[in-house]
Amino acid sequence: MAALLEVEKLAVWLTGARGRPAILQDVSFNVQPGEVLGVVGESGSGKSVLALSLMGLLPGTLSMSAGSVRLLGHELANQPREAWRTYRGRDIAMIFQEPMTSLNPVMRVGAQIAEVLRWRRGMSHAAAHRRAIELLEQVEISAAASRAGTYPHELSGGMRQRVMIAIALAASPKLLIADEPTTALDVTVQAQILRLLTDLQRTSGLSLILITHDLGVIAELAERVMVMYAGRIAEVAAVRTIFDDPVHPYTQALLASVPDMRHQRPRLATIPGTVPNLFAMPTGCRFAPRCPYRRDVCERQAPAIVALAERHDVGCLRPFGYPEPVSVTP
Amino acid sequence: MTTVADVLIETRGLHKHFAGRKLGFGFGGAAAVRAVDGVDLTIRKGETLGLVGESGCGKSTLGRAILRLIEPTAGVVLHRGIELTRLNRAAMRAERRELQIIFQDPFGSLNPRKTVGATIAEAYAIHRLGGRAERARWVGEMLDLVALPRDAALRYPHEFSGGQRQRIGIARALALRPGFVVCDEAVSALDVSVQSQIVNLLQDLQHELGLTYLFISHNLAVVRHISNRVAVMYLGRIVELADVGDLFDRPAHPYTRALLSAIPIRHPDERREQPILRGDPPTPIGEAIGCRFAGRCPFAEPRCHRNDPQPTALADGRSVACHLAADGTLPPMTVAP
Repeated sequence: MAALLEVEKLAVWLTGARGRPAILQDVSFNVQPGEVLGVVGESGSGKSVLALSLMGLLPGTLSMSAGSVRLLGHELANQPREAWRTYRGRDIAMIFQEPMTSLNPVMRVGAQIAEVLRWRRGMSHAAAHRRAIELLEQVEISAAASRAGTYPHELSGGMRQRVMIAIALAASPKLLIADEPTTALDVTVQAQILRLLTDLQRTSGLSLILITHDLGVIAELAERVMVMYAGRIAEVAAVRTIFDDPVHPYTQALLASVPDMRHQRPRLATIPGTVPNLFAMPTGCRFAPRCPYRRDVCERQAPAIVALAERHDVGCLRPFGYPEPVSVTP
Repeated sequence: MTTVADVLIETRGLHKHFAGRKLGFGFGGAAAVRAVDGVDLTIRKGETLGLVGESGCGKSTLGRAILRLIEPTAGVVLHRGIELTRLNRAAMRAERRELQIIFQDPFGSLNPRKTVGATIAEAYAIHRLGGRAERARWVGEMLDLVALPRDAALRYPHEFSGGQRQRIGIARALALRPGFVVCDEAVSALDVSVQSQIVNLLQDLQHELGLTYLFISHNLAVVRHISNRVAVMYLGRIVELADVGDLFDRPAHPYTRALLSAIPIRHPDERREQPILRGDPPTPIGEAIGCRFAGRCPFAEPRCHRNDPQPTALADGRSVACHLAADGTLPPMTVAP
């Protein structure tokens, strides 16, 4: 099956800063139709910048380049910003962490959904309004007809996130990017939203890129997981491989540092040090300064992302026996 | 059994009500928000008492009311038997050397224009302790304690990472060597790898300095790790209080069950326990009749809507405010198919 989204050698850097520090570097991955890809990483991993670059929504201070960004077979890399507009909202939609900042505060929520339908689907006022109410029902908002007439501030956080999801689904996208969709919500409301996303994804068959720092959310929803560290991919594998047989030292350390509800340990595992500063990135592997398995060769060159097994890629020299770099790529 | 000597902090009938907010243009009622609505709580010397609940349940307000950072509306707070709620300003200030707080946002709670050293030393100035040289020495000792380099004293908060800033916040809170510290979402804003560093540090400091913590957090996994006992709060009330293992392994209150069942699974092969709670936590406006959770409780009976359940001690020593849990008629938990 052809991939829905194929990204090759995506890089994003800060323009106008000395040395053009790279926020994302050498990011290649794909998303299959109907697949849930989890993207996990801590602050500074570049996961949110990745989402914005896929949406063509990078702020002017950031520049991107890519070997290829193919959505549904259409090449979007190195196209003007307008090229993304055709696809954004129609084939690819996004929901954010804080729905209050993405919703229009002075527009009724029903009208905000209808706006997408009229713009993207060419519906009439009346038809768009009817469909907006259906979408609100689909995201399990009770009394949808009357809720369509409310303003965002009248709704709870969980309800607002449901409205955001309804807006994102309005144009029937093939790919939904959810950036920390439940991070601002209470755990009970988070459980509701995760269940809703699972149901919607299964019934509509859309692909989902789920960006989160929370490994629990990954365990709930993701089929495949991409672990990111300091702007580079550390490891990509099926969700069970990531949880049971992680290979990258960062993935291992990340999993170990989560407190375990079942098995209590006297002390939590930690990763010494902090994420490197954007302006002082290590030249070799970006995790090397914190890595317990670091060798000299790790500090010479950033490790390429290499297939360790089928559908298991890793950006680390250790599982390959610390090979010396054969050629120096520019 | 708890003896009087074990108790460090005690609250009796603690209330904090906020004046009702008008909805604008003169509309809307002015019923009070009952953020803390009658809390009896004892915190034992040397323990970590976890306090969990959803946003708006009143857990932060309770923490602050205990320290009198906000004035309780009614009720009593005792510290080592001294009634804090009756102390005048000067006496309260003296008492506050023993009572401190660590906040969630280590950036928002540090003065960006003050060096780290000046921030930590401020407590000594307020309490008129030591001279210049002595204060500088104490600041150095505090930095050692939280594993920051001594030269951090001369630098400003923005030069530090989130985890390091939280270390500064801890150093400031511990500067006067308090016995009781409220940790209000102290690790919630941190990445998981840094979070575990700070959790370990808090535990080390507790052993070293004999601290007592009230650990307020919505992160149930961290609460389970760090706490000896856990109190669950819902709409201004403590609905369950138990030893950490009892609470997490055998939750008794329907709300505790619902809260725990909502925790994301740990591994893709795990199954979720029923039930997922429907709806959002309501706001505690106005006086409630009956159990505050009855409206969302799958087991609610007519008596739950009529009578307010009081905290009842069960055989295993826990306290539960639920009619059904108290008389043993609550159905057991089920696991989702």
